[in-house]
Amino acid sequence: MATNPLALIIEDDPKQAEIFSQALKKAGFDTEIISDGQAALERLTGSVPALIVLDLHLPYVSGEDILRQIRADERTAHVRVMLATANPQMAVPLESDSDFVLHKPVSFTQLQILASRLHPDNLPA
Amino acid sequence: MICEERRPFHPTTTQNQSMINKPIPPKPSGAPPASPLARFWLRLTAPSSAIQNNEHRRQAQFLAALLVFLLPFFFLPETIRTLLNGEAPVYLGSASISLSIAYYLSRTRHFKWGVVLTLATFLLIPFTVTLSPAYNPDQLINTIIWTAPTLIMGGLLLAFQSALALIIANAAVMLALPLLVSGITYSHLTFPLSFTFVLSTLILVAVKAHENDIRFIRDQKQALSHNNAYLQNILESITTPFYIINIDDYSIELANSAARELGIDAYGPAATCYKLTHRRDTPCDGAEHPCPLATIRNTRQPTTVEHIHFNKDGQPRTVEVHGYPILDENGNVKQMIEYSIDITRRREAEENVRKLSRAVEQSANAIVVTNLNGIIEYVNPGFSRITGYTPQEAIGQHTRMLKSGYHSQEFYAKLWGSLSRGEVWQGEMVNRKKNGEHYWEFATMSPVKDEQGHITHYLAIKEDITRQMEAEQTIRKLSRAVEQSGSSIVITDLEGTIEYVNPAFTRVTGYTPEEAIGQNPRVLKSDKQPPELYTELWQTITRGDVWQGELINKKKNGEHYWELATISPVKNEDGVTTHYLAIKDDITLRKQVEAALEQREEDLRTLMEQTPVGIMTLDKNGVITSANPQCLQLLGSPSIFSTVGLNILDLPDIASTQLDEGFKHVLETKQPVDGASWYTSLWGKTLFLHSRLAPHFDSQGNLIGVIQILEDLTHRKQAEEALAEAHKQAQEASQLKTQLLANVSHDMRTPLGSILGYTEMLQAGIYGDLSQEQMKATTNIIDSGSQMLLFINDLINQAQLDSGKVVLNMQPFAPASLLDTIYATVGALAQAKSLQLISEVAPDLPAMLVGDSYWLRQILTNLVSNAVKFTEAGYVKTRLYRVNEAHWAMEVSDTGQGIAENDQLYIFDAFRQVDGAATKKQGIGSGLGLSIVNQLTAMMDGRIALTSEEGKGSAFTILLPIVLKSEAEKVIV
Repeated sequence: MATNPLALIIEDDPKQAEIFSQALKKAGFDTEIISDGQAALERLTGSVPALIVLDLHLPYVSGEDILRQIRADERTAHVRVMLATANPQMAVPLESDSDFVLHKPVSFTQLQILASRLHPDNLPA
Repeated sequence: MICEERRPFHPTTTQNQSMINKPIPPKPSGAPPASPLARFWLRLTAPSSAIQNNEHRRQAQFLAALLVFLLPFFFLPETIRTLLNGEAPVYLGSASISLSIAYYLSRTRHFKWGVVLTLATFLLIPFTVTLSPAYNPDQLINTIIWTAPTLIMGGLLLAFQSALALIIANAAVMLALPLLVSGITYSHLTFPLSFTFVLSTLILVAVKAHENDIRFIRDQKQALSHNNAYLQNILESITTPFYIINIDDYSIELANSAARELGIDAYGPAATCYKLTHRRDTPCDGAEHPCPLATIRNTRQPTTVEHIHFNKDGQPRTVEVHGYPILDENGNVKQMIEYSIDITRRREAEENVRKLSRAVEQSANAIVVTNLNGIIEYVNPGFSRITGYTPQEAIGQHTRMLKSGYHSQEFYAKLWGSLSRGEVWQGEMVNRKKNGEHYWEFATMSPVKDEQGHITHYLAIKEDITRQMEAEQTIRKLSRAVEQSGSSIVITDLEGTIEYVNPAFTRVTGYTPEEAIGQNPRVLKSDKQPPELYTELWQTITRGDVWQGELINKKKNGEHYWELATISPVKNEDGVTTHYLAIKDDITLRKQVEAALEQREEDLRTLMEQTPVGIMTLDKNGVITSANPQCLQLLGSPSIFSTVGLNILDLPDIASTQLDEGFKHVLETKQPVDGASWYTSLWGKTLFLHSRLAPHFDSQGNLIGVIQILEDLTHRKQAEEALAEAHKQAQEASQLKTQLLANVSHDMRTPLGSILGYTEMLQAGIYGDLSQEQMKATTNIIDSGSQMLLFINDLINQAQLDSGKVVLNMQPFAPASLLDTIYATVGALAQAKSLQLISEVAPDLPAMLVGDSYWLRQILTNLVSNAVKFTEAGYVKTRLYRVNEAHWAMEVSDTGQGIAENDQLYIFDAFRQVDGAATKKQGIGSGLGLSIVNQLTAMMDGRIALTSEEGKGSAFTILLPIVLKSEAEKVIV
């Protein structure tokens, strides 16, 4: 399984994180769940994931700040990011910086389909 | 040798009068032949009067005188003596006879034969001696010498040719002598011939010289006499009396025919100028009759005076006498030429002209003389008085300077036409004075003709008739005024009998003039007024005063009417009343209007008193001029008296800047100004007043001040404030509700999300494979959960739209990404119904557009979920495409049941669904979907279109403007 690309799930709700994780695994990713903003920022200094699913509403550091950090750091600037939010209006200004906006509640099937599209194997080189 | 008998004219000689016409007796020249001896001598020698030529007369007289001398003193006595001596006096006798005959001939006009005979006799006498036998030829020279006197005499008496002939004859006789007389030879002739030749030559030279002399003198005389005659003719032909007066004794020395005719026809000391011209005995003198002679004697300069001369018949004449001095060689005045010009006629003419001129000058009428072109050549003072133009201003101008413009071109054309035809034009015309005033004149214009009948000038005599015309016009005007007056005018005699009524009277009363004249005005009486009124009326007018009052009268048809009557006595020049004049105005209408006005005023007064608003009028300075009771109450003023006269701008509370500015604004713009504010009345009561300041105009539209209308809005204001407070609270509540809604939605969505998510995971076999029943159960869970999620979404969206908080967040987005969400939302539902979800993005649609992707997704989700909900089989197709340059569209079509035409009108309303039963069959639905779509589309400046056929499906199209990223940036910048 070490050959699967890594998807980082930054989501404070464990149930939602579980759903994200299962869908991403189904789409062919390895997953790693981080449940608060601060921890997410720290994690991002480590290895670079292939995909990040980022909840906008997080404790300590907001998802918006994390997205800004991801795009500011040249190591992670190219990483595909899917935003997840229960208040999609908040995500509208961030759309151009992200690859997709997931409206909560996120459908398992939908996420699975979208994630497969963003899988490095399915993306053009 | 014409006029030879006249003496040469020379004024300085005294013989000159003889050349003047015969009537003047020639003045004696020198002393008359006084002695009888001289007279006798003249008688003996005077030539024949038949001889005209003076030279001939002289010759004849000379011959006669010579013969008178020679015959008695030599030839006749010698003949007698020789006869007595017994000698035969043949030669002397023949000579005596021949000379006697010659004498006779000298006294006739054949005197020349006398000359010939005499000379022949003398020539031959010496030669008779030679015939004597005792003649000695040696003495021939002594004989020949005797021919010398004859030759000399011939030279004196004869012309050159005759003298030459005589000499030749003498020479011939001498040459014949040797032939005739024996003893005489030619040698004897040598000396005598030489002598004779020398003598003859001298004589011929002398004769020739004399003849030349004579010819020269004759030519001179001829020229002189020619001049004389010329001058004389001129003088004589001059019709002006012309005469010469001796300076010393005033005697007339010369006069021409014109002078003679006037009586200056005598000469000599007695014929003095004063005698002949003035019939006076003494020379003229004094200032009244200055003597030109005396003047010239003193001044030696020509002079001119005016005299009265008398004709031969004693008729006086006025003459202008001109005197010219004639000076002698020493420069002394010798004579005076005087000629007089009869100026009697001229004087008379001048007097006439003066008289006429005075008449013209003093005429009250304007008199103008123009040339044929109408250019003024003369104006009299009357003209200046009437027109104001001085002669200097008028002369040289065309008469059209007077043109007033009152008359037509034809008028003037006619006028000039008459004049140029030589006719007199007469008429009235309006001209213009220098000061621009117009005046009427009666003009008589006539052509002025010269003796030949040619028109040389035009004469206009004009009388200023402005006053008459004005008077006439005034009368006409007055009469028209009376005729056309809107007031009834009635004239009665002293008894009150109507003599005249004007048309207005007929109009008002219905009585025609024929009916009214002769009647008494009491036919109009209505008996509605007390008799005292009429008594007072008659007393006033009979007293000579004017009565004025209002009368109720009765028309011919019995109708009553009000009139305002002014009845006045009409007096003649002596102040005696002759008539009464009544001028009456029908004031029925005025009475009605007055009543209406009174009523209106009463209405207004009531209105002002009863109206709940305060009304006051202010003058331009802000001083209160009136106020209604409500106004007083609002101001807190105790009475009208303490209010009127106050300046509103001085009132402490009302005189806020706002009022001050409003007041000025109204005065400046004449537009009303509204305002409202809290204010404390004089009583200390706090009121919220609405104030309207409106311009106040008089009936002519002039701004006279401001009307202020005050309305007590205290209660309303309080209510408004309470309402505002309530509203604020409601808004706060609403905000809370929105927040609540957001929280609720979040809190509902999250567990719902978990439910759906885990169910899907179950279905996906994450937790192990499911049996067919388990699979069906999970599908049902997902179906219900999805519907619930859509419903929650609708509710939240609608809540947001209701709160008015939806603000479009325009950002760049990829239209294709919109489609992804749909599948996520309705994919499960479609799958459950085995519906095909088709989506299509047209290639010409821009990859990036600007818009609010969230709300666009909502629109699309709603349309698609709706379509899925109402479609049982087939597909739901979503298509994004570009409509034209400026628009793109989202189209959602299905193969569902379609929408009835009637229902198409309502489907966009909130909470409405086509058919309750059908909806139930389709499952739950909020009925909000299309309503939300409709509202959002409108917000995005889009349009929604629906095509649907029942049983075949529907297609919703959302038409939206294309906004590209660059454009959006431009707009934002």
